[in-house]
This record gives sequence, C-alpha cells and structure tokens, in this order.
Amino acid sequence: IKYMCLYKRPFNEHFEQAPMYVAVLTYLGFGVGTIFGYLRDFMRACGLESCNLAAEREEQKDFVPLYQDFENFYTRNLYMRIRDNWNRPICSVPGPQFDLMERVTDDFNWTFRFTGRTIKDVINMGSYNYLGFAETDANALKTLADVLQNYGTGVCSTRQEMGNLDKHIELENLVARFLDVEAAMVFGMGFATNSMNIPSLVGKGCLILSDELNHTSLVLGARLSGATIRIFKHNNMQSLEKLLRDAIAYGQPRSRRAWKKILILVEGIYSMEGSIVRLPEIVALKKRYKAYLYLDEAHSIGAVGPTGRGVVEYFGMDPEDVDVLMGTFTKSFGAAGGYIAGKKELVDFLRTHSHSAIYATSMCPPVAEQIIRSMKCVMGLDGTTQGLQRVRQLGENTRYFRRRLHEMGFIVYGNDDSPVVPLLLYMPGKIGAFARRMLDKNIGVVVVGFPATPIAESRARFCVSAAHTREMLDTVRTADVLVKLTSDARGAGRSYKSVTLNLNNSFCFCFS
Amino acid sequence: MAVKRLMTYLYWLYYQYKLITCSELMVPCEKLVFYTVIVPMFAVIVYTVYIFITMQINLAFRFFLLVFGIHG
Repeated sequence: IKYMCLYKRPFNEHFEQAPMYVAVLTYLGFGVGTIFGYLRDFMRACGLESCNLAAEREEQKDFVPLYQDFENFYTRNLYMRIRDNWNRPICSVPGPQFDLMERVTDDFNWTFRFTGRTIKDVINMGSYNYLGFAETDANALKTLADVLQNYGTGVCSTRQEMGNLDKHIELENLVARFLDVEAAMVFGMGFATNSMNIPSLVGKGCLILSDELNHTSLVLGARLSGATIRIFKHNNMQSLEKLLRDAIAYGQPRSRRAWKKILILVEGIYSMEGSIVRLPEIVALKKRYKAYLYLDEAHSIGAVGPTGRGVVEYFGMDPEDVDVLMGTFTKSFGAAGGYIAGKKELVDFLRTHSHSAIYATSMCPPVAEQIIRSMKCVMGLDGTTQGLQRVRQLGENTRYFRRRLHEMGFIVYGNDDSPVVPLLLYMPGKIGAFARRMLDKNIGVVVVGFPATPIAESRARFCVSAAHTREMLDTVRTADVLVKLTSDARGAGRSYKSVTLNLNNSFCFCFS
Repeated sequence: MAVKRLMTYLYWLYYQYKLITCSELMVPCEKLVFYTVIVPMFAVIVYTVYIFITMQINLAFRFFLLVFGIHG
C-alpha cells in the first residue's frame, strides 16, 4: 500500500503466536491455580488456616465486602506464591552488575527476613540503563560533585516561585539543541510530566486517540483532562485511520459539532512489547486529517537512532512534524525527570499553564547536572566520542542478543532494533521458576505477569544496556535455565526441537 | 551416554510437568490434596483405556475374522 514507501529502512517487527498446546497448558495452569485459590479461601474462611492478609474487622463483616473482587483474589492466591521475585532490595548502583540483599521467607512469602548477606555481582538485565550512565566513576561525576558543593541538594520551591535555577535554563537549552527543536521544558518526574501536562493541552470537547498499550501515565493524563478517549489497536494504522475518519465525519457524539482538537497519543518504544511506533505513517495520517501528535519517547530517547536522538531520527524524519515531543531522563541518562519539547509557543504556554510547573517541586540541581553531563557526552560536546560509542555498542548488543535468542528458538516480541527484549514464558508456573533459577545463576531479571500483560502472555523482560559486555550476554543466553524451562528446548535433543516446531507449523496451518 | 541423555530428557519432562501444573508453587498441604486427586484420577483413566482398547481390538479382530471367514 502507499505507506510502504515512507520507510527508508526495513521495519522488522514480529509477534509470533505460540502453538495451540501452549495456550491450553497456560489456561490449565491458571485453572489449577484458581481451584487451589478457592480451596485456600475456603480453608481461611473455615478457620483451618490462619489468615495473614488484610481483612475487614469483625464489626464490618456485614458491610459490602472490600476484598472479594478478582484482583484481590488473584493477589492473595497467585501473586503471593511468587512474590519473592519482585521488590528485591538493591544495594549498589544499578549498572551492568549490581549487588542484592539476600532475603528468605519462612512462611511461603507472607513475610521476608534479611539474612544480612549480599549477593555480589549479579548481572543486571532489568534496569533501564540503556547507555550505561548509571555509574559511580569519580572522574565522570566530577562536575556533579562541584554542583553539589555549590547548590546543595534540595530546591525547596516550585518552578514558578523560587525554583527556577540557571541549571534548569542550561538544561532546557541543551535538550532543545539535542532534539533540534525550538524550546523545551523539564519537569522533576517523568510520570508527572505526562499526567500533569496532557490536561493542560486538551480538555472537554477534544478527542484523544490513544494506542491500546499506552503507559499508565498517558492514560491517567488523558482521563484527567476530561476529553473523549478512543483507543486504536496497537500500532495498527488502519484502525487509527478509521477512527480519524469517523471523528472528522461524525464530529462530537450528540451535538455533531467538529472536535476542537484531535490528539494522537503514542509512545516511541512500548516497554512491554518492545515494538517501535510506525512514525512515518502516523505523521502522514496526521497531516492528512489535521490532527496533533504527542510522542512519548520515554524508552526510545538515547536508545534508538544513529546518534541516539530517538525515534524521530531513527526514521529519518523532521522533528517539526511531531507537535509535542515528550521524554524522560530516567532511562538513558541515568537521572530522573521528564521533558516536553516543541515549538516555542507550546513550551511558553506550558510554563504558565502546567500543573507541574505551578505545584510540583522543580528538578534538583545534581540530577540536572547529571543529565547535562550525559547529554553532552552523547552529543559529543565534551570532546570525546564516548557517547557515540555507547549508542553504537547498545545497537550492537541489542542486535546480537535478539538474534541469538531467536536462533535458540524462543519467542521474542518486538522490533529488531529495540533494546527492550520480552521473552515469552506463557505459563504461570514458569514465571516464578524462571526468576528464581536465574537468580541462582547470578542473573537478575524482571518477569511480568497478569495485570501488566494479557493473562496468557506472561513474559520475562530483558533490558539490554550499552555497558553489557558480550561475555555477560553470553552468560545470560546460555544459562541452563532458559534451556530447561521453555518448551522449545535444545537440551532435550535437536531432533525433538525440530520435530515439535514442524508439527506446530503444520497444525497451525490446518487450524488457521 | 545414551542412558544419560535419556535420564536428562525424562527429568526435563518431569520438570515441565511440575511447572505446567504449578506444583512447584504449592504449599505442602496443597500438594498432598493435588496428588491424592490427580493420581487416582490418572490411574482410573489408564485402567479404563486399558480395558477399553483391548476389548475394542478383540471385537475388531472377531469382526474381520467373520468378514474374511465368509469370503475365504
């Protein structure tokens, strides 16, 4: 179709479907878990088992029950069994390797206690440390020590009152130069950047077209604004075009007036899928139907693109085409906070009308200096090519890791160039087992299950970093765990793997 | 060597079974309940299949004997 010519490089994204038996076994696992959940609830209600969780007081037992919905059932019966894989306390900088505090549980994950030992040098595959700027090297952090001496740590005011430091102005000019736009504004918290600024940009009578898998901050901002929200299928341009045409043809629901504004909310890289947004098509659609585009580059700024300038550069497009460029400094720059960049009128408007500027504390100076130093490093302004090397190393590591995982036969979602690598696990029993076995092998991973992902598609999410060496990636890749746990295993013999794959292909053909 | 591979494969199968049915995640009393229900159910199924299949083969054999008995 006409949109294929907009892409200057191949766009490889795959969301392979698992064979049918995997889905059956997943639901079987959840079924067993649910049955045992009901059994345990029954035993707790009878008094045969002690109740360790939140419950209403005796006097309130006749009121409307608080803890009977599915979410609470899921939390107490399924999440509690594998709870030891989350909220693990870290006691060092989250670089390519880090230290964990060892904790054990005596009563099946209801309470934890620390043994006092630390597990050293665990390979970190979970931190969003894409360019490796989470480091404690004293040379690199020299300017930070100076800023700490001069400015201290706290700002003690909001941006509009007394919290507007010269460091913020310097940072904003640098961000605008980095992204090649007119102006930018920085905020203290990435989540708050989205949720507090979308309400100031749109309001009642406007239409928001948001992607199915948008982050909670975008969803919260959209709901707070009071505009009408319509969802289009993930990265599906036909769905978006249909919604745009309907919006323009039919207007607002009852009065049939034209919408005041149509805003398309997308993200650069979706962190649960690893997919990259189809920016050229969206920009073409937006120009045709006269809508505005809000691009959230939380994961993609610094991580994709030949010089790390994000998705806009990755597709070779002009930053002027995107109306609102938003991003965070948490992922690639090793700091905290967010920015919104675009035309000067937009940024000036946000300076006066954003909730974050009026009420939230501004970014503290050492964090601002960390962003300044890392951005200068990426742009090459500090005189070295270290920044460019880091971006290239990240690209290499990403491609190597994805290619090898794919060769081993695992189902990995997402675009070939995205540093977020979700490896599908599917079955609920495997979620806990995978994380625990990886920790035994000194590798720390993040596994995600039901509320964050669809119920039958739980996954382990690897975040590749520029600071990972090839040996580390090989250690992760050849960890016995991967082979033992997933259905397409090599350890069971090459012929078995090829036979199952062939059978599955033919089955899918018959049933599709 | 082949025996070792066989043992590895069987262990892998057993581990897959444990993962799929979430037996690893259960507390001991739940495992007890699970096994006291599943194992007899499985045994009953195996027994039924055993009786049923042999009976069917027997009947089929007699039927074919009858058919070819007439011709031959």
